[in-house]
Amino acid sequence: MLVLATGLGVALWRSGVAPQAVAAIGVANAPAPLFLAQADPDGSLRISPLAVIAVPNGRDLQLWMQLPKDQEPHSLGILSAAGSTVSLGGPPVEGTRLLISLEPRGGASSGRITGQVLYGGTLANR
Amino acid sequence: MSQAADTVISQAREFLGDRITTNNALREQHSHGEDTHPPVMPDGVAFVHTTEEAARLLALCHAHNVPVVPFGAGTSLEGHVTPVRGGISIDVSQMKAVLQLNPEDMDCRIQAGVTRLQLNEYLRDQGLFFPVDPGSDCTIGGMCATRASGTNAVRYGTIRENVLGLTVALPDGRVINTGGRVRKSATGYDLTRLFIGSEGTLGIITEIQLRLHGIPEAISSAVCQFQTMKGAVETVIAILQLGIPVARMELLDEVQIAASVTFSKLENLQPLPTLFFEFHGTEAGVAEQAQQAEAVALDNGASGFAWATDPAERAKLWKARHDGYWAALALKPGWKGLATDAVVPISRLADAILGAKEDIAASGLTAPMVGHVGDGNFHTVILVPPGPDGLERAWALDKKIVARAVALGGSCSGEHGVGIGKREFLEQEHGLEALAVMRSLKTAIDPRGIMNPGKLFLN
Repeated sequence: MLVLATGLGVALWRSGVAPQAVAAIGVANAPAPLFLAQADPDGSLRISPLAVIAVPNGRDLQLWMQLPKDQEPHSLGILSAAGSTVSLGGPPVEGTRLLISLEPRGGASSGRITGQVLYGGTLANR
Repeated sequence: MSQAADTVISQAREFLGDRITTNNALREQHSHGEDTHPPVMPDGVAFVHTTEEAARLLALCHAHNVPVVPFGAGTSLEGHVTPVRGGISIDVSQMKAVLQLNPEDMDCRIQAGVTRLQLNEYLRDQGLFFPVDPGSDCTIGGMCATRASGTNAVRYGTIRENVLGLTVALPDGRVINTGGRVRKSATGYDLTRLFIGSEGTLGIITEIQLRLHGIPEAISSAVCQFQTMKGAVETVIAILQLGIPVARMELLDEVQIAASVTFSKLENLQPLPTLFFEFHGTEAGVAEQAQQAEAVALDNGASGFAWATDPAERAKLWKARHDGYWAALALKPGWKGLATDAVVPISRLADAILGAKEDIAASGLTAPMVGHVGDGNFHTVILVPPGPDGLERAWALDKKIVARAVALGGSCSGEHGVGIGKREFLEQEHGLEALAVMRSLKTAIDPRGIMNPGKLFLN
């Protein structure tokens, strides 16, 4: 009986979902978000598009993060149309701003946002 | 006047009194809309005040096989209200009551003769508004009958998305209620949508249950100009494909903007392809959306945004847009205008608009272009030269523009309807079988064919 209870406890513990941070990313006042961001404890961040976004020719969408303590956002790379998985460089921090800007093909060469920030959202623990 | 129409008018006097008339001035007023089709006088004009009156009159017309043409504000651009086979023009413009307002559910029930401006005046102190804005102050019943939309459709949808239910008087005098007050229902055929866009060929819409929207906290408008139409159209496509939620986005070509500058006394605008924008939302959100749209426009060669945040300035700008048809007509005083109404999928907008510009140039005609390009819809006002072949040349250009739009996967009419002028395109757009089903529905509901004959279907 004791063994069974312990086994059940382990099973329940193991079946628990690891804590995640999520963000809905979109345009202010838009009826619905355009991307969903999900961050895992290992620091991986998945960005999934919720709508078909077509980027003008010669341009790319670039993903940026800004931790609550950061002065400026830094790049997480170019977003692909099908979505992207990138590394946050550490466990997700609640309150981190995720931004997506419209940049020249290949991304902002300066390492800073050069184009218009089109979409934004903030990570929250779930 | 036919014996049958005479009988109907005599019998209808018993319950309508002098609200059914054969007065020449009123018959003339009800002989046409705002289109180029030849006017035809009805035998009589009836001003109904209630659903019951409309139903009783319809039953009489049905019994005597007298044609019926529903009439609202008479702003149709496709000949819908012209009584091509005479009969009775049933005018609902005096049905102006707001019957019920439910602010907590954001809906209301109105009579069909209520106009857009009248309703928005009524709603203003509730913080609510009705967004469908075709420009003219048409009746909302007429908007339902023609499946109208307008400048706000890109954000709020067309009349189709904003009607929850209808009361309709059928040709034989029966009255039905369709839909209801709920935002969705999975019960039975969607009769509401059947009557939306039926152009008076199935019955008379007498009451409408409407969805309402909250007046946005902040509204701002902007204008930007481009050296080329291509730059303007590509801006529109990019803004939509990037998901920037503009409330209105209107294109005026260089001919139209020159006309509007003169007609509406607009300042600081050059005769260049121009986009008008409006953004709705919170103060911060509106500013953010506008910056995003500006960035895309600048990327496509725009000369920069001119802002109109002052309500009076904004109203002047949109009044100028809405007066675009009259500004176009003023280019050639005394000439008539033939309005085209093609709509295409957003990704084909550049092909459709730039192709239409080439068609206009090749025709040698003057045809200013405006468009609710946010939903792929654009209009040209083809100015019809006087002379025997003027109308023929204008129709030939219209057909060319429509054929291109349909070939690009579009439609011959985004919001004006079929009426008389677009009937020949229905087969190409819908196919023979779909058209046969439409005819079956018409026959089932109006077996004697009294409802607005000569519209929607050829023959």
